[in-house]
Order: sequence, then structure tokens, then C-alpha cells
Amino acid sequence: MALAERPEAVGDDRREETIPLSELQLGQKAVLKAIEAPTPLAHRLMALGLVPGTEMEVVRTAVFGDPIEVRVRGFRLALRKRDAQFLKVAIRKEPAS
Amino acid sequence: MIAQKTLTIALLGNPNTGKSTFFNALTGLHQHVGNWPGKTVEKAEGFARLSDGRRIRIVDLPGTYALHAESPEERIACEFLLSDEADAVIVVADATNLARNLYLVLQALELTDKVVVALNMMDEAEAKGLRIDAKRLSALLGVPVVPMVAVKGEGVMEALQTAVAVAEGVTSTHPVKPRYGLLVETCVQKLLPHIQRVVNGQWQKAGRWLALRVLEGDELALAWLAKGDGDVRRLLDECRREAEGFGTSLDLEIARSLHEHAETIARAVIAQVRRPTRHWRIGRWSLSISDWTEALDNLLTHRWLGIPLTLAIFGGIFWLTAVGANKPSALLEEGVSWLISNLRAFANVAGLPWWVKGVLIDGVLLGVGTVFAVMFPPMLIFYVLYAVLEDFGLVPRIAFNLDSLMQKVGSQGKHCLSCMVSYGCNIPGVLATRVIEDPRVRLIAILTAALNPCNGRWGNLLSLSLLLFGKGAPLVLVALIAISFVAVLFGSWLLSRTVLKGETTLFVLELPPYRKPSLRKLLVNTIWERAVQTQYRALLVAAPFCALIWLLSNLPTDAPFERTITGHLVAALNFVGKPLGLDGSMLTACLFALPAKEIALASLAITYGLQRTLDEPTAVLDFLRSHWTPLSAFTFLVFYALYLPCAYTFVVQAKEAGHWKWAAFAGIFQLTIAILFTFAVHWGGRVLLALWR
Repeated sequence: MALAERPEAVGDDRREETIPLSELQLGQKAVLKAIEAPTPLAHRLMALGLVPGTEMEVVRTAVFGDPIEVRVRGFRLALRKRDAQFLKVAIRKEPAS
Repeated sequence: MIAQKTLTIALLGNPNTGKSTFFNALTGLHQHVGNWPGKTVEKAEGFARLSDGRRIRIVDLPGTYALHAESPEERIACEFLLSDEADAVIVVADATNLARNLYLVLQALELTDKVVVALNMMDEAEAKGLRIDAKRLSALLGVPVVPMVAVKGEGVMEALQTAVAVAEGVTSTHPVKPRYGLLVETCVQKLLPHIQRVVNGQWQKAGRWLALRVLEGDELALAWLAKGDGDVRRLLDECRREAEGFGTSLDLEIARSLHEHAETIARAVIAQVRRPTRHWRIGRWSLSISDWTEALDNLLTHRWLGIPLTLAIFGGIFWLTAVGANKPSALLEEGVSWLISNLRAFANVAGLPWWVKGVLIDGVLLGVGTVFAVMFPPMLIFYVLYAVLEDFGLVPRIAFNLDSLMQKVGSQGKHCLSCMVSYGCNIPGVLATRVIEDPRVRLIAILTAALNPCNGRWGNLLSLSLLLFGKGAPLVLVALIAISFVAVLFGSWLLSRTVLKGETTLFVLELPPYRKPSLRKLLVNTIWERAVQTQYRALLVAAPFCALIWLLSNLPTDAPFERTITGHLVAALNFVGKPLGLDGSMLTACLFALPAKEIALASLAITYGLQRTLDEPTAVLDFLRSHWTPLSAFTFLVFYALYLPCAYTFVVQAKEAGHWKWAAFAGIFQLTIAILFTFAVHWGGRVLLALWR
């Protein structure tokens, strides 16, 4: 399935650097900036509440490194890395404690 | 005049919000429930009775996260709500996850005015320290909100009464219509007149909802409208270009606005009044609910421990079954043997004709008695334990753990959900494949579903393992479940490399929190519905078949066993079974068990019994124990676990796959795999034994 011709969604801050969700480290908190997934996946994720501005965190990875478990809006979601790479997130800088 | 019309109330909700539990509580029916998303895949119907005696038709729609028609289950839900059939809709919302559930509620309000929100799992929300202001929520949504704890039956009737009042117009609703940004609203206004022109009835009322779906790019919504109006597509392109100009897309803007709206409402009605209360205390340690879901997940989805622990849990279930069933089975065997020998003595005294004596006592009673004595106790225990497992929430974790393995054989993690359901019964197992979005993978799951031993087969596998391996039975059963799973993997791999080649597609699965199993479900659904009914059905099917088998084994009259019909069959199959390490009686049992799996044991009892003139269950079972070597016994169990499903499974496979040819293929395919695996186990076992000595 080809990438849909989806214009890159605009986040709150254009200057912020984003990485694919699949590259987020365990325990790191991030904010979703854009969904660049093919339409069926994008719509499924949007229905679940994954829209720009949503906070997310990767909780763990499964036995063979895939899928990953993501905590978002108070529930947990299993996603494959190849699907997670379409989600661009910005790492949230925690205040140093 | 219209007072006598039976009202229809539809149940809508996110997957895994307790919708089916609610449905069961209302109707007294027994829809399958368990703690993972996507169990209800087809709409189910039943009738509830109001306190004044009126019957209300209840339709349980498949669980869905949103009301757009992109997946089959969403489509079923949408089309039903648009059909004018539902007089009111109860949206079941999970109180512990309100914001996300309100998203669906708001969409439902766009589609119809006659909505009641049932706020389920209020007890869990309370345990998390949350207080939800139902009155305020009702005011913000403009429809009635009823707090509910469906597993305990709390609020169930109130929700129904409220829905009936709404359906009849006694309670009027003023649902909030969510507003979107200027861009989306402008587009809706553009589309609306064109849509209103081509639809009528309930569809006209849902015009705004239809416009939004078209703007999202929902192909089905477009198809609904395209017949009457080509303008819609042109306008849609116009709107899309406009959105692009703003650097965004319409689907994203719609989803974002609606989630924001849902979030705002949720924030306004939820208060964290105290810390989570329900916790487990171990010495100085205390774990709250969210902590212990976390703690359990750290173990059960741990990279290395997850899979061994899952196997250990299955082992534990089998072990408990073995220990628990030991005594009751022995007692039942003795009881049935006592009954048979007394009845036989009585028949001799009374001078009953040989065929009455034969068919009734040596056929039906011996067969049925053996089935009952050895199958009932382990089956009862196993079902209860398995139901606990389903309620608990381990099933979606297994799908999570095994997704990448399943991907390597051309399938995906949700295939495991179908396998787990299949252990109960292959037919819902085949239906459960509907949670798989990709038709190719779904077909793989349909064709391999019956490789998972169903509860009819488990009944025989449990009892034979206990009989033949005693204390080793749990290990043997874990080996059998592992072998059947490897057979599923092998079958999937084979299919995805040959007839069903293709790309793997998306996998999105919600992992629900672990939940305490409901005692009510265990007692009513599991023990009554599953165990007792299955056993009853087994006996009912077994009785005529036992009579038939006995007759086939005794005709022509007075011939020695070898010259009867069954005798010839056994001799012929002896020859066939040799390379697989199976004897003729075993294969005959498998053959007789084709209409229903439960017959196998009865058939073994009758055919061996006649060959050796054994006339009591205890004697037949003792004979099996001494006659079969561990290897031949295990080989038989492997073949029996895999070989073919019952006849009805084929019907469902044909229906779900879309053509009877697939069902025929499934049968041949599965039998081939069963033969290959049996062959491998038999010869592998022989080589290992030779090396051992």
C-alpha cells in the first residue's frame, strides 16, 4: 500500500524536531506531532484518540523487539514498529529533578 | 395502536466495555464474553422483559471505536443505526476510560437523537478514586446518563427503562451537536444540501453525520451517496483542496475537534476524589489496580519470561484439572460399572432379546457411561479455569507477545485471539477471525482455526491423558497445545508461501487492564452453558451413535468381531495406520467421531470392548492403559487433536471464507498437516526411544 497523499499535519510548533515513534526510547515521554500513515491506519489511530497534541509513552517492547506497547490517553495500545514509524513525535523535555 | 409494537433497542460501544455482559444481563442469553477487544463481531439479538411484562428487542452491535464505516464491524453498526430499525440506542461507555468513550457517544449523537448513555464499570472507576458526575454529564450531552455495573447487574434495568422512555418519547432528549472548526463547518454546509437531496428517512436526519463521513474520505459513505449525486465527489475534492491550502486534512481536523470536545466534557465531569482504593497488600507492599496491571504486564509480556510464563499458566490449569478430576472420575467409573453389571444381570434374568441387551447395555450405556465418567469431571474443571483465564485479560497479551512470530509465518497477532476462542469451540473461533482487518490473513486464520483442539476434543484429550499418563498428564497436555500451535504456525506459513501470498498489514490492538473474573459468569455461563450443556449434547449425540457403532460391530449376527462391519473397517484401517503408529481401532474411533468429536472415547470403548469381550468401563479403561504404549498413546492424541473438526465447523468455514471450496480445501489441508505431524511424532519418538536405550 502506497503512502497516501496526506499533507503533513501541522503541530503546535513547526520548529520542534520530531522523530518516528518507533525510535522513542522506553520510558521517554513525547507529544504526537503528525500522522503520516496510510489512510486505514491513520483513521484507526485517530478514532483511538491519537491526534496531534496527544501525549504518549512507549512502555515496553515484545519478545522479538516488536510490537511495542504505547501508553496514550490512559490506555495501552500495541503497535508494530513499521506502523509506529508513521507517527512523528517530539520528545518532551522533563524538567531536571 | 402503536402501543403493541415491540420496541428495538440497540447497544453500541467501544470494544471491551462490557457491552455483551450488559446484553446477557438484559436478555438472559449467553453471548461469549472475555477480557479482550473484538469478541462481538456480528450483531446478536435477544429479548428483555420490562417489569410490566413487555418484551423489548435488544440488538448487540459489534464493538467499535468510531462510527465510520471502514471495517466490517463498524459497517454493521452504522448500517443498523441508519436503518430506522432501532427505536433507541444505548451507548455503553467505560467509566474508567471516559474521554475516549465519549468520542463514540458524540458521534452517535450526530447520527440519532434517541440516545441513552450507560456508564459501565462504575465500580472500577470508583476503585481508581474517580468520581463521575453523571448528572452533569447528562446535562452536557443532552441525553440521559445511567451509571451501571453490568457484571453485578447494577443499573441494568434502569438503563433499559430509560431507553424505553426515550424510545417512546416520554423522556425527550436534546443532544449536543459537536461543532468543528470553521474549515470543517464550511465544508459541511457545502455538502449538506446535496446530501439531503439524495437520501430520505433516518438518513435525512443523519445528514450532518453523512457529510462528516464523506469529508473524512469514507468510501462507503461515498458509495451510499454516489448513486444519486455525482456532485458530492466534486465538492469533496474542492473541500480537500481548501484544507490542503491550510496545511491540514479534513479527517484529521474532524478527529481532533471531536476528541477535544470529548476531552473537555470528560474533564468537566471527572474528579479524582481520592487515591486509588482497591489495592493488594503483601506485607509492607501495597499495589493499586493500575500498579498491578503494570506489575503483571512486566511479567506476562516480559521479553523473555512472557511466553514461558504463559505456557506455565496453561500447565497449571492442566495440573489443577488433573488433580481435581482424579477422585470424582474414579468414583463415577465405578458407579457406571456397577450399574452396567447389575443391569446386565437383570437383563439375563428378565430374558431380554440379545439385541436389546446389546444395543442398550453394551452399546449405549457402556459408551455413554464411559464418556460421562471420564469426561465430565475434567471438563468441568478445565472450563471454569479457562473462563477465568479469558476474563482475566491474558488473551490480548498472548497476541502481543506472539505478533512478530505470527508475522514471520505470514499472519499476525490477532490470529492468536481466534486460536484462544477455538480452544473453546472451533465455530466461534472461525467467527473470531473477523477481528483481523486484512482479508488474506483472515482467510489463513479461518483455514487453520480447526487445528486448535476444541472443547469436544479437549474432553477426550484430557480424559485420555489422565488415563494413560497419570501424573504426567499436565505435561502431555501442554505438549499437545504446543504441537497444535506449531501446526497452526506451520499451516499459516505454508498458506502464506503458496495460495495466500501477500503483504502484512496493520496491527493495532488495545491491551485492557487485568480484571477480576466475575463469579456470576463462572457459575451461570461457564458451568451451566459450557460444561453442562456440552456434556449433555455429548451424551445426546453419543447415545444414537453408540447404538449404531454397536450394531455395526455385531452384524452380521453371531459372526466373530473380525467378520463384522466394524471388524473389517478396523482391519483395513490397521493397514493404513501402520506408518503413523496408529492401529485400526484408533482410526475407526476417529472416523466415527467425525460428526461430533465426543464419540471417540465411546467408540474406542465399544470396539476394544467387543474385541476383548470387556464389558465394563473400568475394564475397558484398564485395557487401554496396558495395551497402548506411551508413544502409541501420544501419537494417537496428536492425530486426534489435529485431524478434522466436526461437520458444522466446515459449514461455518465455507460461509466465512465465502465459498464451499475453501471449506473442502481446509479439510484436505488440515488432514494433511495432521498426518505429517503424526508421522513426525511417531518416527521421531521411535528414534528417540532407540537412542535412549
